[in-house]
Amino acid sequence: MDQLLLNPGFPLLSTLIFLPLAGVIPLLIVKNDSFSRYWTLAVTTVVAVLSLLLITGFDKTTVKFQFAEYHSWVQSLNIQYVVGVDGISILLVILTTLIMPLCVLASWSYIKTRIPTFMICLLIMETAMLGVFVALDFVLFYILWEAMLIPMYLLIGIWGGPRKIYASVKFFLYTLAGSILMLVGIIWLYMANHYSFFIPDMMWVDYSFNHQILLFLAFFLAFAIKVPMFPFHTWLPAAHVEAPTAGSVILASILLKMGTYGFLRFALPITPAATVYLMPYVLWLSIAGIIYGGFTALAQQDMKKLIAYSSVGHMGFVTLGIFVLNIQGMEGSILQMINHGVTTGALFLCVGMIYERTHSRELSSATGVGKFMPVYVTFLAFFSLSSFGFPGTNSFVGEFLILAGAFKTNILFKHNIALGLAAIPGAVLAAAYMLRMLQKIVWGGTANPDQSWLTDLNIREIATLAPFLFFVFWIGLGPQPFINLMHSSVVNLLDQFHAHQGHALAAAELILR
Amino acid sequence: MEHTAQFYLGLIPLMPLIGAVVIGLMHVMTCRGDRLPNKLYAVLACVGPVVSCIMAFQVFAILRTLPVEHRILVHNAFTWFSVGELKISMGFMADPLSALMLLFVTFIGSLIHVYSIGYMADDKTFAKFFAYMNLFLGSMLILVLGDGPVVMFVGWEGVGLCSYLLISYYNEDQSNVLAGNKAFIVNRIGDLGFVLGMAFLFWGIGANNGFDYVSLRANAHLLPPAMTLVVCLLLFVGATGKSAQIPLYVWLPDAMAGPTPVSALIHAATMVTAGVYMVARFSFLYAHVPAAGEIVAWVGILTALLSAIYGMFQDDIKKVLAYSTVSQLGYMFAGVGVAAYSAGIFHVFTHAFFKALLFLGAGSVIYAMHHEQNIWKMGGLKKKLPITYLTMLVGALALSGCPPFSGFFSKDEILFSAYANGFKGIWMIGVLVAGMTAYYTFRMIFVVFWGEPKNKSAYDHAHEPPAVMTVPLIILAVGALLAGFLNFPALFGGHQLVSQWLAPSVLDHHPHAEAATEWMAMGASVAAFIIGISIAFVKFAKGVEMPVFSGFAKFAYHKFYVDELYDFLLVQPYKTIGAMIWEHFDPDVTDGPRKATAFLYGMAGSAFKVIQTGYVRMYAIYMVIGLSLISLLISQTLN
Repeated sequence: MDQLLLNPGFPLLSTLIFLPLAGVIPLLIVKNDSFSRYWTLAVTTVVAVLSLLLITGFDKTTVKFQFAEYHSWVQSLNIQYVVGVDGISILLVILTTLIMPLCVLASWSYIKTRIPTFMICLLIMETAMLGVFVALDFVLFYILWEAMLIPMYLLIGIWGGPRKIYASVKFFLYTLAGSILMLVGIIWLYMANHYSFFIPDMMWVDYSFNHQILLFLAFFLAFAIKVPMFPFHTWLPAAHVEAPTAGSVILASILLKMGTYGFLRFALPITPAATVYLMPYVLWLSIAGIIYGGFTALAQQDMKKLIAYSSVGHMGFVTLGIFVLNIQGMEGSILQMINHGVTTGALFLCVGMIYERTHSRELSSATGVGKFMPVYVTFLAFFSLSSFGFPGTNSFVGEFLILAGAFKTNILFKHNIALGLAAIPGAVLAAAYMLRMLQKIVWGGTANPDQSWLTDLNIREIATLAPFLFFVFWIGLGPQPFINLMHSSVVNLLDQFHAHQGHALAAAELILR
Repeated sequence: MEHTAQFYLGLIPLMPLIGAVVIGLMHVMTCRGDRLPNKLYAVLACVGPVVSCIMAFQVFAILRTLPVEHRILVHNAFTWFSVGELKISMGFMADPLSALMLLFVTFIGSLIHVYSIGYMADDKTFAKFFAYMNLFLGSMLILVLGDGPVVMFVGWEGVGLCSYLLISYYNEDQSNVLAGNKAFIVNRIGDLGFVLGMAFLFWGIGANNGFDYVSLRANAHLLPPAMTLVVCLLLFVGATGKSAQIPLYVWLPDAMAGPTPVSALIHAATMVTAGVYMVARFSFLYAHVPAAGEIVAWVGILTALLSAIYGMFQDDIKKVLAYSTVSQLGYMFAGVGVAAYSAGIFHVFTHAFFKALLFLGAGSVIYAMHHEQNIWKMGGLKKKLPITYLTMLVGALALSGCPPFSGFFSKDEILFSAYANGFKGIWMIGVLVAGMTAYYTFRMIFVVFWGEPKNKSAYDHAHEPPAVMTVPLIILAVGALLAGFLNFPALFGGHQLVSQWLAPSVLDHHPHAEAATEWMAMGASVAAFIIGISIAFVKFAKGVEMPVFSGFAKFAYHKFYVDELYDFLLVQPYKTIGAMIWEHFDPDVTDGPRKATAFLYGMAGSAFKVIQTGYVRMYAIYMVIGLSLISLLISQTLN
């Protein structure tokens, strides 16, 4: 309990979580397309504005969970309703609340059937996602973690493309299968911690080395599939390609971050010794993801697949930064999670806007649209620059920090230089595949000469993309406010980690010897 | 006064950047409707560069008033980001080296902006061109003024981006866009070296002592020699990308696909010299490890030789100039490589004038000939384009190293330093290349301007371009003629002003040589020039038809098939690997376990499906069988 900074006044976090859910009710009653659009936009906007109160009230000096709320829920099993944010989760919460209204805008004319149902899915999605980032009770966390799958499954399965059933089933089963072992891990932790599901109590406990390894693997599978890390990524391209634009944006910007958030929130504090022990393998998987994602993206003809595979590479950078286990890498990773949410989300929006016009995501059929859509290609060009880490854009700062972290050597991790070396070719690949896309879309020849009917972006579309561009440059040029928000929590995480990694590891060395 | 100058340091790069944003926004907002008048854009485009130029001169003047050892002005615009030991601020620094670069970058940049108003007058996206040009100038100024490697890298990438955008500018033609991609990706490969070098340098000394040039220079001795060598070589990899040296020179000739003023500004006068600037900037590291310098010098001089060979067989006027640029860059690296940093930078300075002049001259030839670039289709133009001819002649003489034109002094200084510092081989190749340079430069001049016109109708329509284009030519010609005297050698009683000026910034290794040696080295250069120009005169002065190449010439004409080789060794494998992974590895191997699991579940399901028929009679039979078995079991147990 002393890890919580209880919020005596207005229950801000609960409001954020449950307001979208409450917003579902009118949609169930009034089945009107236009109303459901405006209503959902209003609800998500209110949530976004309210979430800014988190920033103004956030105490950057404490490492405790703030805005915390603690209520008992299921007494007999000792399950509580506990929520709270710290420096690691606050940016992700804000990212989620800010992305949602933009997703509603992006679906304004894209979604043409069952609009109220679609909006209900978005709202339920928002509740579940916010809950995952702030839950501090394992049962609450697990329920919301799995609950996210259902609206996403419906988003892909109902409003998706031609192979929507295949994609949605693959997405659902793949991610569900990963979380089953996590449930086993949670139950073991419950029993090992005097029948408590309270997450902060489970951290830094120094479980025995063997248990840590098993726990780590159980959690790792769930998170690695979510990230997705190579080789668990094959559900991602399928899901992205078939999902409607808003689905792709939520998937890329928020859902993928749950995996990396999970590593930071659970894997490191609960199983520090196992993390150190297995770190090299995770790092090499990250590198493999960076290179593999880059190569595969290079071969794509479908814009969504291209961006999906680029996500595999970018998320490889994020896991790389987390598992180099130093301050630069870790803060770079958290920043890069936000960056990826901004940039890749925006790129998916861009592809969606082309798709709405030409009904194709093939690069070849988008060739040459730049001549007729100058505003559109200006946005696209900036987001592409951000995607390959151009200085002045957000991703540069993130990737720079991660690489700096990867190159930082200390006595424990001699192999870091090799890692840094191996990660860098990813930067060349990223430029190569993004330029290939730009070359076709923005310029290209006169392969599709009949495109003069294409209309450029309208005000609503510009309003959807503009906030993303704003963040691309804000984080790119002045990232310090974002870094300051997370700093205390990250420093605490690393301090605790270094204090605890030794205990179990030393014990393990005795056993292994 | 110092305060004012520091204030200017932030503004100098900012002015063109603001210009780029304003012009860019206006263009994007109006380009589908009625376009705004070109005149408005022309004024907006020139304001930024010109104001920067004026401020640059003031910074230079203020710097001169300071005592020699205090000639450093630093302006910290803002802290960019800071995590643990890693503190990066957007800082700008003017010292003698960056101030000199600053002067000619803003000055020539402004002139080329003015020239472009005429050259691009008929372009449909006039505004877009100037937005890119302003963005380029801003990035270049960040590169030059950056107070540490990271800020330099920001500019470094920025100029690379603008170069890419402007090479692909005529994007109706797919090959131009591919040339842009090639430039960007080749540069990106070089950037890996830069990033790696920065990483080693940072964790080597920067993390604990500050990561700006002043601190790095003060602590350079703390870096172990082996590490210093590694850092120097990695940084040089970055330089070979940006400055088009072996093995990454291949992008620059293709970059000529961009508009000619772009070739003048970016691919001749400023951006491509960034690598030389970088080596000079890090002279405090290179000075510790002579081996690194030796590698730099050899790569440079071999690049000079190779591209001079290419240059002798080109038939596109811009390609001739492009290879001569690569070749001259090679000289510059030879200069900084043999620890004659000020000589290398001085050549950067003079080269900026005469090469910008030659490109702009070529631009006005191309403009007059309605976008004809093949020299064999020109001829006899000196009567039609007298100003262009005379100014280009000045540029050509400077490029060929004819005394007393600027190129003579700077090139000679490099060659003499190489000789005196003991690099006899580099000196010999350098003299040979000097002769080749004179040959191919005057081959171009004679074929284009002398002899009879090959294309009569184009010739008849050719006319001198407007004053907005010729005036910059004349100004540059004056510069190309006189710039050399700034570093008038001591041999002739000069004071070597440029070398003295640069002394606080770079760690020159001054050779001690007899006057006789100096005369000998100079004599060899002049002799090479005379021989080169004479051969060109004999072969081309009377006008000849386009030659048909065979044997070695054909091999050189096709650039020794290096592009094809790179394509075969690097590009195709990359594409093949991508396609292989995508078509086979990803669905079959990576997704294999998932498929296998799904298959097993399916099989198990099918097996059970056989008995789940849905018929009551079948279930009745199962019940009977089950009950019988249970009865049997019970009776067995009871017995």
